Amino acid sequence: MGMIIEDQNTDSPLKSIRKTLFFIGGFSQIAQVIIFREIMAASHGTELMFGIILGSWLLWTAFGAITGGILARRDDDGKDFTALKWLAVTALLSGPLLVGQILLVRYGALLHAGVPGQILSLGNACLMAFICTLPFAFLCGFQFTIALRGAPRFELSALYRTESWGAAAGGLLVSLILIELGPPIQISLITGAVFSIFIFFHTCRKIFLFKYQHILAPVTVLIVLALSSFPLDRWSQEARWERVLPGFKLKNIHDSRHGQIVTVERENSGQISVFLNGGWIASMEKDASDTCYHQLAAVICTQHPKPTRALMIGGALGRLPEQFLNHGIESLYVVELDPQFFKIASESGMMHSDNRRLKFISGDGRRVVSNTPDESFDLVVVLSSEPDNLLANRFCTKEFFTQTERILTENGVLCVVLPAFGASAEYVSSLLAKRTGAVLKAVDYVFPETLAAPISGHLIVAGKKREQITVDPDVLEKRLLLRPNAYPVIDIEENGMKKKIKTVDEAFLSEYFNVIFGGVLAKKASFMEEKTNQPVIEKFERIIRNCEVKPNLDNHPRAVLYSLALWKQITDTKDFSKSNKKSGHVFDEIKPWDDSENDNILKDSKLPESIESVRLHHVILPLLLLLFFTLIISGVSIIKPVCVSKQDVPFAMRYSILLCAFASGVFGMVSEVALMTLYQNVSGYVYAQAGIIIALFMAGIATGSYISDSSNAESRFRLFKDPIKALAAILIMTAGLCLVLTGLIRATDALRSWPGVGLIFGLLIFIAGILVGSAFVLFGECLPKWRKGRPGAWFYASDLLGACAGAVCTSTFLIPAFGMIRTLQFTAFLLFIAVIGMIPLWRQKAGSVMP
Amino acid sequence: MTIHCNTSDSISRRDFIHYMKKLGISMAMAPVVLKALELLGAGGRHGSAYGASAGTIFKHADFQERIPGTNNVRCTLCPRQEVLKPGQTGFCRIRKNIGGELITYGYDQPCIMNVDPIGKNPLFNFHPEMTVLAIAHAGCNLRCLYCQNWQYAMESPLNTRNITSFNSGEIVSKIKVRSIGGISFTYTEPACCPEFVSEFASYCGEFGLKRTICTAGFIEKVPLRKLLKHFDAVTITFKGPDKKFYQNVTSATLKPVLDSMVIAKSEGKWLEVATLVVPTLNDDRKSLATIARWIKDNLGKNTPWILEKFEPQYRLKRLPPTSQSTMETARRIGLDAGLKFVYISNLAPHTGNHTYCPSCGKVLIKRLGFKVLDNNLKNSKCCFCGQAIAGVWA
Repeated sequence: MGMIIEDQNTDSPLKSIRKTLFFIGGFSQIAQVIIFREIMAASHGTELMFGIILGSWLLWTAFGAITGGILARRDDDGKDFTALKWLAVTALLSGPLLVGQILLVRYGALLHAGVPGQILSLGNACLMAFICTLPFAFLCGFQFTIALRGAPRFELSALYRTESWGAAAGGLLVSLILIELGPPIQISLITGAVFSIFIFFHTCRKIFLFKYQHILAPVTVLIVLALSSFPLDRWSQEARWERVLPGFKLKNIHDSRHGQIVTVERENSGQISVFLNGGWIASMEKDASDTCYHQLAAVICTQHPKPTRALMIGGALGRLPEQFLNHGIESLYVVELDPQFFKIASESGMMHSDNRRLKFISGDGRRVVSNTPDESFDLVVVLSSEPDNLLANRFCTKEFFTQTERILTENGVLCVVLPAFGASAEYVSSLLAKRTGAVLKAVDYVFPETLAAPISGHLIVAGKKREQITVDPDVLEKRLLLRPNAYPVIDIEENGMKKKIKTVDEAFLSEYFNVIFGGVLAKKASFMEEKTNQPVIEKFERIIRNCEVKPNLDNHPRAVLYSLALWKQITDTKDFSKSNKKSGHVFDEIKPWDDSENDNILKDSKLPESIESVRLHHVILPLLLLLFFTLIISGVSIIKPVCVSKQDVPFAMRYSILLCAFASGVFGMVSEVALMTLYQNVSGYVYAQAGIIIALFMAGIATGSYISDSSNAESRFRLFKDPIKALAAILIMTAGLCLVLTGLIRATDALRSWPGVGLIFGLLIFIAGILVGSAFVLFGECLPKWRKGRPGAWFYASDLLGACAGAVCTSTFLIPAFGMIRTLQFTAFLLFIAVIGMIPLWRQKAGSVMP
Repeated sequence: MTIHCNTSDSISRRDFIHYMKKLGISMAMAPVVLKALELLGAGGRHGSAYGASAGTIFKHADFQERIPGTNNVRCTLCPRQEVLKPGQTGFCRIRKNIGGELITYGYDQPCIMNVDPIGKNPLFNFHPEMTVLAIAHAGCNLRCLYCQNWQYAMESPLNTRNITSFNSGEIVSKIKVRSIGGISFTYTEPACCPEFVSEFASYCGEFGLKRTICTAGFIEKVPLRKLLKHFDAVTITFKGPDKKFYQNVTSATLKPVLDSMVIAKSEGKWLEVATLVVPTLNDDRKSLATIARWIKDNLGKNTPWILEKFEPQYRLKRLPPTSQSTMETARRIGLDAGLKFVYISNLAPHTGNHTYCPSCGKVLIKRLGFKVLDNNLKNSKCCFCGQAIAGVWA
């Protein structure tokens, strides 16, 4: 298979490669968003998973970049056609490969699912994320370095810039248009086909790569387009859900900007269940009794003597809003992020849109609260999902409760319902106590009176007026008796016919609060103590209040840490169900454990501790070790300049530049997560605009690389004459930005009132991008030998590894364990270490003038 | 750019790598050394865990066999028949081999003591208006994926907040003073700690208190028989219809559970059977009918069958709750199979909470959840038609 140049140098190869990289960047961003959404829908769907997925993606991209770099280096014929051939082939395969990867995610999750409905363990989720991101992430890194090889030398920054612009465009396209345009498989096939056509014909049209090139390409594209006309996505989803939940029928899948909403119907019962990103949200049954909704509404609504205006955040799916209206509420505002929830509730007969007292708000609950005038509601109810992610945590923080207190009337009441993994009321484990305790402490900080009860998970009630809120069944009963419309409805059977009647039976009503929720509210003799009280409630509250935990804050989301630890504790308990059989019993011989200290007790209890008890020294110590190592290398290079041979770049210099790339990568991710979180805390939900944020960041990278590029001797603009000094200055500025951000975090409350705060955050994200982009180009400039001898594969890989570390650590444990301020300080420290690590580069320069 | 360097003043690349290696090893060892110092300073985890200062009580465990010639011990309490090496803890997290002897951590170490209605045990045809002192200790020899009591069932007694001042005499006198009808070992698996459970139940029996137990029935025959001697009524959870369900969902096996139910019946104890109806796992008609038929054929048609509604919990958080219509269908299946008393639990108020007369169909015991609102039994007979109703009523 020969390679013939048909018309060399007539069209600028750089131009071709630039255009190619623009498309590579764009399509990789589209693929990234699609695959991330699929994995989130197939797994737990939390930010922990997001961090792990992003980390895996960047890791595989780094490996792809390294592989591409090695392959490109071997292509020593000087004409770079092997690289282009690889590029063309991978471009052709991109669309089908992405589809294959989507299917891998959908069916790969099943391998770890265990029994239907089982949540994935942390290990399995990591494994799934690690495997399922492999093909395309690897390809992205591979294509980039291959494309670099195909371009003329010294054009790294231009190419990097082009790819960044492509990624920015791809991010915008997929987030704003493609996601809601159609099913992921069809989108992948069509965009893949367009991508293939462009790359194949534009880049390779002048180069003969293989025999039937001109036939193969159109045929492949036609096949891909033909495939996209089939409802492949629906088929694959039906098959998946049939295996995920046998006996349930897939009704509808809705891909919105907020995630994937799936509705399934239980066969023969008419029960509709709703899943968001694979997590169960609610189930609705048209003719079922309303008992669970009635009980919760009875306890919540009777906290206020006469509620007239109420705000409910979450809870549209189900009969809770309807039950609230029975308590005489004149206006009930129900807030859901995704309007699809209202549609599903309405279709399932759960919500009557014609009821004028019921008002739906589709938007971010936090934003709704911050935009509401003072003293607007008597009752605010937050039906929170598990605060195991920063998004859900925003409804359980001191800052949110402060805003809520403002919108409550004089004797207004706030109720927060936290899930508790179905934990029984009689006992509360230390981890769960800490999770709820952190939220309760935050409420305590704002409201004069609070209480907690193990009801419907864990219920926290806070009142603006003292001696109003209560869980005393006698008081609640008196309040309920004044509201005949809110009397419980019971099913009765008369002559074989089922009826629903509103009970007015006094005996029934007087016992109602004593028996609901398994009787936790009942007044009875405490067995261990002498006085008559509510032993279950009192014990629960005592444990929650006494646990040593600090309030849950926006910028230090402690509840996230405890929730994640809980998840880990629950999913990591060993069951040994696959032990060898012997003498008729499955678990007969568990003795083959080699470890004499093998002790289930210690192992299981250690696991949650490993997350929950993260301490400062766990981060500081590695950073100090890195500093120590860096100081030694720098010190050695100061005392005795490292030996530079003509064949290779010395280790110390390589270390310097790779450390800088790593630190810059870490900063990129930390700044993105921190700024998104901060903006979200200030202005409300931003995940739907994630595409715009990524685009801004990528645009910043492109701009930064352009600015740095101007340091080339050939350029008209010479911002920095010396790339090493320029890099050091940029890294110092980057560290400075981290410290500026810590100041901004401290001023979060003030920021809320600033006009145009969105612009400020946009600008900050753009600046962060500029710093990352400008540093990246200078890595190549600082090492001229590398620039001549190799593409930027190694420091590209190091940058990606840094980004991977930043992605995995930031939202998973750094921010939950230490808060945003400390996280940014750690990043600034890392950047300072990188600056110190640049000493060998200066010594190299000094060495070059030495005799 | 050409780089010049005075090689005579510089260290060689080989030397540099050599130094770096040493440095790397030193730094890698540092955390290990620090950890070792920390452990030495703390006196070791085991030292404090088993010491008297930790307040942990442990007692020689019943049902153990020393493996000849070794310090290994076989635990003969449950069908796992685990052979534990010295230092190893059993699957239940309660029993441990210390120096060739099996000890139990569950003795006198309950983590829950709560006054409950008997219906919460669950027992429906046994003194329905009685309240009992519900007692539970940490640990369990099953790993049910839907465990509602996972906070302590999946823990060891060493890691839970236990009632350290447990005094049998004092407890019984309090029970008497507060007009509590009896005791009930429930929530977790009481059979994992037969030493404590038997001893305390036996003691309570001396004072005429009713004693009930709720177990998964995954226990060997001999220990079960010994245990049952001290109890008046027993609830056994029949979790699923087949071996596959037991292995995948509970990490146990079915046969010992079936044997336990038959033994409990043959020992003359009042027996009720409870089943958590879990969507997709055991809520199909065939599974429910299999369970109902087995109960009728082996335990008799008068054996109450309590159907409990599943809510997403513990590891099955992604599974929707059991629909009300499924619960009603399950009850209908039980009644159609010939069982006289089929109840719906975890769904209240519901008509399936009540006790109906099998003869005239009228409501005999009207319940709101576990609370009895109305009792139409007279001398253990239906006050409407005079039909004798199976159960222990007075």
